[in-house]
Amino acid sequence: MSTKLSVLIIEDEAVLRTAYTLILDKNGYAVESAANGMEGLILLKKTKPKVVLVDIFMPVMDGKEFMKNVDIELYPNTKFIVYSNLSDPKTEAEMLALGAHDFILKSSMSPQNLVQLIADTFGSDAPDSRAHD
Amino acid sequence: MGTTPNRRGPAKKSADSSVLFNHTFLSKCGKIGALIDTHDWAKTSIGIIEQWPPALRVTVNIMLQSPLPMVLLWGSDGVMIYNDAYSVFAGARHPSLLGSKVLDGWPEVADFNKHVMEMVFHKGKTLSYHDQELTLYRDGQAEQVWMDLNYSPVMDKNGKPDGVLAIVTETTKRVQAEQKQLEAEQKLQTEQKRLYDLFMNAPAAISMTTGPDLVFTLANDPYMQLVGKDRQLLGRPLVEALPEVEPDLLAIVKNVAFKGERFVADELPVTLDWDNKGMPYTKYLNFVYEPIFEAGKPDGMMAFAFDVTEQVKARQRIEESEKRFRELADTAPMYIAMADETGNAVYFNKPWLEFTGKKLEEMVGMGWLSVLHPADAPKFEADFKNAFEKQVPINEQYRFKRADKKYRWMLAVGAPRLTAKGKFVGYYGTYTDFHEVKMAEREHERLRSVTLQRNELQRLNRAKDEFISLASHQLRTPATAVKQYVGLLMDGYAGPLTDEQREYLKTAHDSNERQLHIINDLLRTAQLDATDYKLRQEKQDIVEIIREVITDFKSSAELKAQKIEFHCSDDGLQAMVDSTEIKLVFMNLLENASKYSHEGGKITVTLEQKDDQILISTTDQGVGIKDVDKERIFDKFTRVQNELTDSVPGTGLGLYWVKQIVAMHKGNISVDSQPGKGSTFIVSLPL
Repeated sequence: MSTKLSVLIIEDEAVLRTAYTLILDKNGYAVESAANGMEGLILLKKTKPKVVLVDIFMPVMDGKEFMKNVDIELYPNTKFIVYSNLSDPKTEAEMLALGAHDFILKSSMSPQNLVQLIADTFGSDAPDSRAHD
Repeated sequence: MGTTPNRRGPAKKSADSSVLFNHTFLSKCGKIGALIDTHDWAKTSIGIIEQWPPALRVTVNIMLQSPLPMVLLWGSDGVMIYNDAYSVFAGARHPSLLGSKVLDGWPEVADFNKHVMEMVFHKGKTLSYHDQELTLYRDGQAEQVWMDLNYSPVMDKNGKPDGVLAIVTETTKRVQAEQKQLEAEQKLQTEQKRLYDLFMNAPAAISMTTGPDLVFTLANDPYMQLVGKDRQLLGRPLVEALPEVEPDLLAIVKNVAFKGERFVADELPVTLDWDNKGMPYTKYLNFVYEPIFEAGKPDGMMAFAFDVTEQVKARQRIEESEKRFRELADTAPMYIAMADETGNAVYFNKPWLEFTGKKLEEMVGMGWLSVLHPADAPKFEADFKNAFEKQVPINEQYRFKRADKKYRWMLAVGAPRLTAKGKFVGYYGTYTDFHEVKMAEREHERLRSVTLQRNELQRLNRAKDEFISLASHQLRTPATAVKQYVGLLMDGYAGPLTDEQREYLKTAHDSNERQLHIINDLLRTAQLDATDYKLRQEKQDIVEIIREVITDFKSSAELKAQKIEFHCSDDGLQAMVDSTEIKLVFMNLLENASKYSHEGGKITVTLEQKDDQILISTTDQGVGIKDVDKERIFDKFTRVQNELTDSVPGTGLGLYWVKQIVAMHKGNISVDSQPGKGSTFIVSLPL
């Protein structure tokens, strides 16, 4: 059996964290979640996910700090996707410069969009299992 | 054996040498002669008359004939024999004095008589005393007696003094009279000197001229100073000593001195230049010329001159000061008034009178109240009453009526007037026309109030924006969560859905989309409003950007069967734009064009260069915009009413963004519209 592809979600809003975890789980991904950048760093090291979804505005350590603290070279196979509420070109550029792969708007993201995005990121490695018919 | 008195007849001649003389030398010698005759001379050292030596008898005889008071002191004892005249001198001592020794007879002057006897009897000298003063007790009391005394020796045949003959003439009366006279004279002199000193030291200039020539008999120092210290006055006639009196003053003087008419002149200015500095100076004098009467007739004059320069000068200073005050007051660029201690106005300066157009008589007393604004009268009354009671300064504002009947605001500053001794005598008031200032003050106050209101409004506005931003932030997460869970359900993650379930979920989904849309709009507005929002402008092909927008929009336009046309005359135009933002701008404009048009219809987009601007316009065939709304549509949260408003969603923020973004690009947006026909939005951007 192939191991589930691991995704790390770093998001401070509990309700959203639960929702995204639920969506990805139903789509066959192994999901870990962290409430802030600090926790995120710990889980990143521990689980070595393939995709990291990281929010920007978080307490304790925000997304930007998280990206700064990640040694990108240690995670060559990991894709970092930054998602935020605001489309701020400046922040977008900064995050991309720090090693983010993509930058998306949270509020425009439906479950379908999310799944599609993760699948696209994994490319051919994306799992097939879908909960519905 | 004694001899009988009055016995006449020839004397007996005897054989012995002692000759018995008869008493005939005593006859016809008055009372004293008789007394001598009958005196018992045997008891004395002289012996009986019959044995008196001839010298004695002769001397006695002569003495008795003389009217002068004489006394003969015979022998070393100085036995006294004297005549009638002397008996008067002797007073109560006569007749006991007769035949007594001189030292016994006059014990109170014994020393004197001793000296006399010593000089005259023993040494044979003559003595003469004039007005000799001796204290005698001839009448029992001490008496100061003056007398002329002449003592001469009476010689015997050998030339030795046998006796002393004294002529005693009492001069008491004369001496006393003389003394009295002297006293009187001295008294007179003292009086005169006192008077003289008085005159000389009087604080007035005094001179006295007497006689037909009006000779100066008195001139004190002040007078000398008045006429010139170097002048010789005393003893000289007036016209000679002071030639300048002619002719006018002399006439006056003659009137006083010879007609007895008193002359008075007040505050005559007299120019003197008698101080050594040679600078003339003026003194003011009150003159009084008093006639002097000699035996009832005017015979001269006393001149008095009182220096009243100080009073005159003081009065002149006050007058000068008053005059200067009035001159100053009349030329001062302010209105000056004075009130007395009862509150009555007593003075208004010229400017005040000109301002009110009234005469002084109309203004003084209480007349000026007619120019005080009736609304200000109660306050004025209260203010001044209070000030007068406490005698404190006033600083208030009142309205006064100008000559042209207009009221002007005046700043009134009043100060209490006090005399040099601190007595309250009223008020000085200065009034300054500060009408313009007052009006400006009011305007300023009004503006301040307006500014405060505006600031408050701005504050509220900002608070509103902040609230919206905050609320939006808070709403976003739950709205996003709803999107996820509704999505989960709709995508079948919780199991298959019935048609009804799907339908309801679709509604929920649509509403939620709208929620998110609104929230995003609000947050984007807040972002735009934040002062640090910056564009990322780059030189871009603007035509390409517009084409992209149109392409993106085509699909939603087709939903309403709307066609889009793009007309561009200048390809490849470049402009400094933030492509993301500009895209949003035109996206918004196209959305509006579509939203506010009915199904079908055409939307035209044109792009052209005009001078240094690029003009991009979007034209629709929609409901149009009324003239009154053309400005309002660009306001925040404003959606104008038209037939489609209620059926078309909108936050009222779209055009607000458009305007902000265009303005940030240093461009401009305008709208042209006809209700019912359509609208054209024209955006101009600098090249």
